[in-house]
Amino acid sequence: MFAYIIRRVIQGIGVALLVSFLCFFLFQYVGDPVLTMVGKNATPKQMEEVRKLLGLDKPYYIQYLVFVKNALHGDFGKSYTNDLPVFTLIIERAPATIELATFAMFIATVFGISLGVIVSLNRASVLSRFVMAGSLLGISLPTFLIGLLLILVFSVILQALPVFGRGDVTQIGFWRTGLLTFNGIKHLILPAFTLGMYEMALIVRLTRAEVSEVLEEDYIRTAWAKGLPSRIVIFKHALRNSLIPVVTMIGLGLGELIAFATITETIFQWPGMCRLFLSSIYGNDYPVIVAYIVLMAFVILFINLTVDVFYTVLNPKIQYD
Amino acid sequence: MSRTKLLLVAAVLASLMLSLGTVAYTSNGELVVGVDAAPETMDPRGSLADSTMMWMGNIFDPLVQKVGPEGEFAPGLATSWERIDQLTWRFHLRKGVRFHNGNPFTWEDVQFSFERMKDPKRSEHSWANSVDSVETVNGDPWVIDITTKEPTASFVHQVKIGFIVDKESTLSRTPEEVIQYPIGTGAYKFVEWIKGSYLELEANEDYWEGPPPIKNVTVKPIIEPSTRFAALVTGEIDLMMGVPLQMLEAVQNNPKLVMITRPSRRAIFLGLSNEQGLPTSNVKVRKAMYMAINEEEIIEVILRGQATIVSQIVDPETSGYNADIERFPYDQERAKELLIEAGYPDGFKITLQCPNDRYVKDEQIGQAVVKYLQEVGIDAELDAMPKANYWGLISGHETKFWMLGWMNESHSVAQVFSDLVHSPSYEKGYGGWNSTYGDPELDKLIEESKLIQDREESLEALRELNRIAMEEKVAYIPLHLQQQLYATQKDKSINFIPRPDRWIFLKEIAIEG
Repeated sequence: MFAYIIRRVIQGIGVALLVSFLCFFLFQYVGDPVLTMVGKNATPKQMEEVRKLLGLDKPYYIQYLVFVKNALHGDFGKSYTNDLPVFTLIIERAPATIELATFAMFIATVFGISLGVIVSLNRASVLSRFVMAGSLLGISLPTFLIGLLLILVFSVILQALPVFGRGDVTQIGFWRTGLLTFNGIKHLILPAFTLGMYEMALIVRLTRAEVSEVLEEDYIRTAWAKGLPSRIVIFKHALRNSLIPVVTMIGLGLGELIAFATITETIFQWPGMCRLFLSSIYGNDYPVIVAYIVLMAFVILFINLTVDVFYTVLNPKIQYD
Repeated sequence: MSRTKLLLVAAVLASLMLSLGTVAYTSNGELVVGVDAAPETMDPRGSLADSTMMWMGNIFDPLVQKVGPEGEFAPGLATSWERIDQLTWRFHLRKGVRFHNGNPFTWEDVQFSFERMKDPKRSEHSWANSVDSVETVNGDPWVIDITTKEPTASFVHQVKIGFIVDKESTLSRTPEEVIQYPIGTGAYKFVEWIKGSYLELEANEDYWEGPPPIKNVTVKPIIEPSTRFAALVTGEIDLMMGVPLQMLEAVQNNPKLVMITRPSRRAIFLGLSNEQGLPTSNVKVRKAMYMAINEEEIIEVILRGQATIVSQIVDPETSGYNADIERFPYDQERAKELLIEAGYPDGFKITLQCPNDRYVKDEQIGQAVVKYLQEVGIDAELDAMPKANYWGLISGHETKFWMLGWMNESHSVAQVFSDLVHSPSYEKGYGGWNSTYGDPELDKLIEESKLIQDREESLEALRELNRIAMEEKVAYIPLHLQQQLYATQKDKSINFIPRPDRWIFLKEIAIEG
């Protein structure tokens, strides 16, 4: 187990080196950050000077090696946009994204699994058909459309929930949380539903498929025959054995939600790190882009590793060597 | 079974309707501004973007400010100023002003601030490099002379964005602190900045002009236009900057909202190379292309009437603006004749390059231009791309037919033409944003105009230079001035008059309710 984790971490470092190299390779083609840094009245001479100061006059692989060297010393550089340390900029905005993604995943899991079970127990009912049709919508509707529709219905027409932002937040150490105030939770609902909709729909469909399959197994038939209450048959025997693929999907999904909440954060002006990432792309802010991508590689690696470990708890038959 | 089901359904419904009460957002003596772009930094030298500069203008003061709807000069940290000779500007400093941290304002802060703006890596204020020295006159700490390296008639215009910082606290704090926690002398004090979320300001009760009327201001960037509009409709913001064109009617038809517009200073125009051998090096061809474009239709259809047609690439606020310059009329028949006269009866191939994420409807305008050119027989096509890729084509002097928008802070044709019309010269620092146009006669006129000392004479020379460039040389094809579009809550009775520079100057806003 321990050896397995070490191996995965080493793989992760390899991945981080590779993606950051790709970043530097691609930066050659995405436009010149110096143009946006110096102001529009700068002379070509001044631009050249800044380019030299930033090391942007060197070939991309040299820039990459310099980046790796500094990163190994824990220095990810400073943002071209506002000259603040990149790492602080990202960490400052991470809590907003993590809270949003976790809450979205929580909603997706609770509703996804519950609805999935209901649907698999009574596949022909009107409710089941309704849920299944809804899940198709959840998978196929683009996020920005869901977001705007939710704003239209719940904010503009019903005036029940706020349109944008995080609302009242509480500062605990470096972590700014919106979970401790009623106002903060209210601000979280629409973006979380928007972000979680797709995952929720997937979980409903997967749970339904898995539970339906398990319900056909001999041991379930035996359980029913023994006269066990339906609560125990469904939750203890059927659901537990259906959950392994669902847990995998939740794990992978969470990583994706954290790294790619960009559209939801844009629509709801959520001050998370995905928005920072997006504006950095528009502004050619290379240091932020690289640091974000490397950080996300590690976040996804960490979540996958957690899922792997969690398997062994759910099913002791699974072992890593 | 059925009980479990019911419970779950109930849970779904309950969570969807979690709060039924209407959200109340009313506030008194407070203003929430929804802006279309987030400030990038709280360091007044860090960015020249409007979205940052306008808030710096509320926290900091320049020596000379521009006020009101016409952008008139007014004393700032200098009570008066004069141009002593070609290179020297004299400023009489205001006494008794204090920074928000209590430090007194002195001439050393001015000297320090100008020096600080010269750092090319940290500062976008490249104009500050024209400053040679900042010194006191005869040892009087309240009178200073700023000398420039070359004669710069527009210097006093640029001083408007030369914000004065507190030398002591800028040096004693870490750079990170200085960038994030600004200390100025301005009408508003900095309270809190959560990047990407909001900027909070409070009235400076000790402001040297007297305390501003609105006490607490929150600036909330909302990038997505639909969300910004929704936030205005629900009352979460009081003043919205940047009403998207597609929501124009929705705002106008909403009885709770008031729409406020005025032309901005940003002109949109097309550049054409005149390199040897290109069809566009012939003035007749340039004129034909100009006359083929139905600009009024572009404004009416694409911009929904929200733009002002222009005949030159500078706005009326710029010295050297010439009201006598007229547009060549839209006349496709004449355009075809001109092409025949120039020797291109069957047209030629040309590609218009433009950004698709920078100016209002930039790509659609490009599509229309290409269509008009095709109508007169020119084989035109469009190459639209993100601005990040686009800027390099202009500054790298690669594109032969391009779209540009320009708002000058210099207020002078001399400076605008130095950057946009003068043929590119790395050594002399000319034509940085002129892709591939150049005319020796215009180059000479531009350089000469800078040496004229008499104000009236200089103005006359700039007007004439402007006329020659626009009418005789067709250096650019001017299109329109973009419109500034704002909306406010009617029942808040916000007295807001837009400024030419697009800044929201909070001390000029009052709530009448």
